[in-house]
Amino acid sequence: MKVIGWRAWYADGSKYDSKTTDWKNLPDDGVLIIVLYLDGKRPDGKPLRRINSGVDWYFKARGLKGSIYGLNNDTPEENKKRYGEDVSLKQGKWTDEPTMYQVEKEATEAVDWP
Amino acid sequence: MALILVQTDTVAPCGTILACTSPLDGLAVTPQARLAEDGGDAGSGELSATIYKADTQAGVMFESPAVGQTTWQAGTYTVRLNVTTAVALLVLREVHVCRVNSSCVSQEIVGNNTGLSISMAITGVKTVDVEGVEQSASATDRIYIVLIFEATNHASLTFGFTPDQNIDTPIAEAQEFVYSGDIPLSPIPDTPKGLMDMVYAGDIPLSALPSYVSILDRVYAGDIPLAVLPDAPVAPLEKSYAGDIPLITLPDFSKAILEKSYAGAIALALVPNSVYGLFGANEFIYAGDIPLTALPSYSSILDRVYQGAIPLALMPNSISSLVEILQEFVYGGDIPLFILPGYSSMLEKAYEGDIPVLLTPSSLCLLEQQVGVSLRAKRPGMIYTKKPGSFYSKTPRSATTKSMRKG
Repeated sequence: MKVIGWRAWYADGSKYDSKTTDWKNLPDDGVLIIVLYLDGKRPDGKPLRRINSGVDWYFKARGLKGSIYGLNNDTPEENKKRYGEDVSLKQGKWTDEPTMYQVEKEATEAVDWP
Repeated sequence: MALILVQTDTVAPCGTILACTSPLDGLAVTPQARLAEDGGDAGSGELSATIYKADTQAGVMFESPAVGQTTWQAGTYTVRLNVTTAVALLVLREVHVCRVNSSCVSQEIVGNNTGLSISMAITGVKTVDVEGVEQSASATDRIYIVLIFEATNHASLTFGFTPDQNIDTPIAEAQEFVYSGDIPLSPIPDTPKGLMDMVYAGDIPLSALPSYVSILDRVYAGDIPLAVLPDAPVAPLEKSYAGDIPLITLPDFSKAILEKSYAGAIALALVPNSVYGLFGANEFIYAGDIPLTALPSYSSILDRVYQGAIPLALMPNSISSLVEILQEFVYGGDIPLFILPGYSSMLEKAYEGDIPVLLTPSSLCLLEQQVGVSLRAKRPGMIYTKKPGSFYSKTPRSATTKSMRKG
């Protein structure tokens, strides 16, 4: 299974996706949810997905067989040590409940890619 | 063969309930419960379930229809969940199998597996085995399965699953009911199999079954021979008598229904479509399977003969018994001889001496009118032959002419 794309929702209301934005150009702070799209298919033909949220750090790093899209609560130093100096880190942020519920709804419903 | 439930897109009848479970934080923010049934159509739509941040909640449930068995064997329940939208930091912690009654009230814990730590961060089918203990159940009790998840971080987590997996159970499927040894009950929709046991044993009338109509439909479709259903002679007939189903569309209409009529249990006249069904009855009579005299309503058949709907000559046994029966009617004066379709052949028989015409009051009267003489005054050895200008005239008796003997 490979990642074929992603969408990102930020606390300031901005949204991004990998069709128009390179990961390293995402804002460094304010991530609420990142949805990864995979090359596998659900029974209804939509792509399989993974929803990442609720942590301090989201990152893209170089892996042995492609890019790593990870998330954790480790420090930037620890992440660089573990995933390499060129790991691209984006910081998560809390927001108010109405905003979070709205973003969760949007992310859940964003089933199509591209 | 053990009962296998197929997850479907249909909402579970009991809805989202905790049943026999008590998760730390109750129901999920958006729990999802679906029907899982034997022979069901696997679901295809993805469902989303959201677990509140840092909580342990019941997020997914599967419910079976009434199992229909009063004994649920001990053994392994294999529960599968096809995760199609993964979510990081969410873990499947517990799977419980409960027995609930038809009012969705929990009856007993069948079994559970609470030592789980299955990450929901990866899509794919998650499989959990639960060891269940034997249950003494009502036939209407259902299996209710609850999956409990933990959001291991401080955000609500939403994942997606598609209810398209099998759930294996150790419950022995009702024996494949074979009305005559051929047709398993399992293809019949909504048939509580345990109930059928009782039906077959005679404890429950077929008409009391929820799936009564389905069974009848199969009977009517010819899949199940009517004659082998224990109480079939009554139930399908009632539907026919009510006019719901034309008798002639019943596969084994000819035997089962007619036999009941012949036995006097059902008056043929009470059968709405007996007008048409009697043609079938006649086929039996024509074939000589059933003596006409054994029919309680045999007069209906005779009426049709008298009305010309059924040619007398087509009745094989009319030569012997039928003619006598008809004659009895005629002799009794109930039916004027001349309205009989087989009038002429009867006269021929009378002329040949097979039937004593003098015992036929109405025919005698008619003949006397036509011949213009009193047949009672005729001498033996004389016959009446038709000549131009008159109906009959006297001629000497010979081997080639028809004779009429006095009875």
